Amino acid sequence: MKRLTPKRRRYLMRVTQRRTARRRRRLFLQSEAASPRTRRVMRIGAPRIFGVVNRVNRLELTKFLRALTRAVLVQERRVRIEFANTKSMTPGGTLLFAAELNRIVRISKERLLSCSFPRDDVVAQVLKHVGIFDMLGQRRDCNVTADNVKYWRAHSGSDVDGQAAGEAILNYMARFSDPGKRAVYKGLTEAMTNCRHHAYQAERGDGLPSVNRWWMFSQELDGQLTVAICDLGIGIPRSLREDRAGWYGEIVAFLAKSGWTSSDGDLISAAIAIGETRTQEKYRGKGLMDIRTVLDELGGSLQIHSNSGFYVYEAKTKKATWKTFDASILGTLVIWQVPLPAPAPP
Amino acid sequence: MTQAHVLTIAEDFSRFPAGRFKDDGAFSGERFRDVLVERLRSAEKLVIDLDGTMGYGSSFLEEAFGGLVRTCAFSAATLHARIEFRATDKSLVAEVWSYIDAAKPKR
Repeated sequence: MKRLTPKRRRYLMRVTQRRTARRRRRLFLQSEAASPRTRRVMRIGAPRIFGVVNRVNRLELTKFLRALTRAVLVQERRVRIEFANTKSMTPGGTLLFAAELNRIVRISKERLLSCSFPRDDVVAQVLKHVGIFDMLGQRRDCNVTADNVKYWRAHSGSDVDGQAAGEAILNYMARFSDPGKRAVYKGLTEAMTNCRHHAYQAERGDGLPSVNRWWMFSQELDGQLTVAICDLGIGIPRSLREDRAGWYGEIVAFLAKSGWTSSDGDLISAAIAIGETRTQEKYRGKGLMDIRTVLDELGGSLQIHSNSGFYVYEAKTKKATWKTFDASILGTLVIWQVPLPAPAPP
Repeated sequence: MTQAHVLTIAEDFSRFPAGRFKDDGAFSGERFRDVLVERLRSAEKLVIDLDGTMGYGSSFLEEAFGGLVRTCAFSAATLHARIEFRATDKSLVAEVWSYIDAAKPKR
């Protein structure tokens, strides 16, 4: 056999490399065009911290949720969520994640989601306890023992469900005064009513179907009760701007008088301020005031996140502060944190 | 028409009243207003006991009681004459009357 010259050998190696690259590319494109079932799995890294108050955490979480929703519902990809770097899960961020996942599972026709098992034991317990592992098909066993996890309770529904609101606080009933119990119940049912009447009146803005539900967590930790409720609707600022509550003119006048802008944060704050003085049916701000009234009885703090707006009220100082983030949560999340009296001795 | 009738919301309606309209849920303000109208038709005086429930949201109370004036042709004066409230929390009674007094009849 004729011996190859070095020049010829190099040429043939280049040809082989090009052929291999072309073949790989063809196979990749074929797999892309295949059904979701046989397509390569897309890996999406979960945020380090599931939180909504810190700007960086909120941005990371909202980007993650958008990527997840787009991959499964628009691109119909199989997705594996990687929890390797996740270190902490706050009630608000976790509730938002659970709600988005629940929406994806309800809309997608086939099971396209899976996940890795977290390195952090407490994160694993949270995901197991609130039902996120079930939604992601994660079957690995995990004992829920951490105090900051085992008292989490999760509920979800579409109606204004007084019984669900009652169950969320049932375990703590004996520890609250009668006005305290009534205030929590009032706040929760009004948040559900607001969700029912205003949240799902139009498309959410991500071009995907809505599921017209609310999701709720309650958690006891270190003498504090946290109750969070969220929806994945159009958000308070958009429902006001589109005048779905029928009183945007009054809000605009209030904003002008106060020298505020029409940013999401300013709009939420204006709606609550106007609601303080209103009793009639059309004023959504009255419902928002009910949400804040909880604190008059119990103390603590209230956070309202709606789209890019963030409103926080501290009962101790009776002061509200608000701002507008870059990142929108595309929905509304209300979080109460109230001091929980110690249980009576047996 | 009987002289007086006692309506205990926790027993005669629900311990979990919530929501405004019938579509909102099984124990909404609008549903409770139907009960109220029925009782107001059959009794001259109605004593409404507000105790024993988990609580009340403002949309439930406004639709149930404000709605009597707005959609059921009762005037606030008539309701003041015919309804008496019982509640350990007196601010709740004041809140209900504020909805009745603020409501305007729909034309």
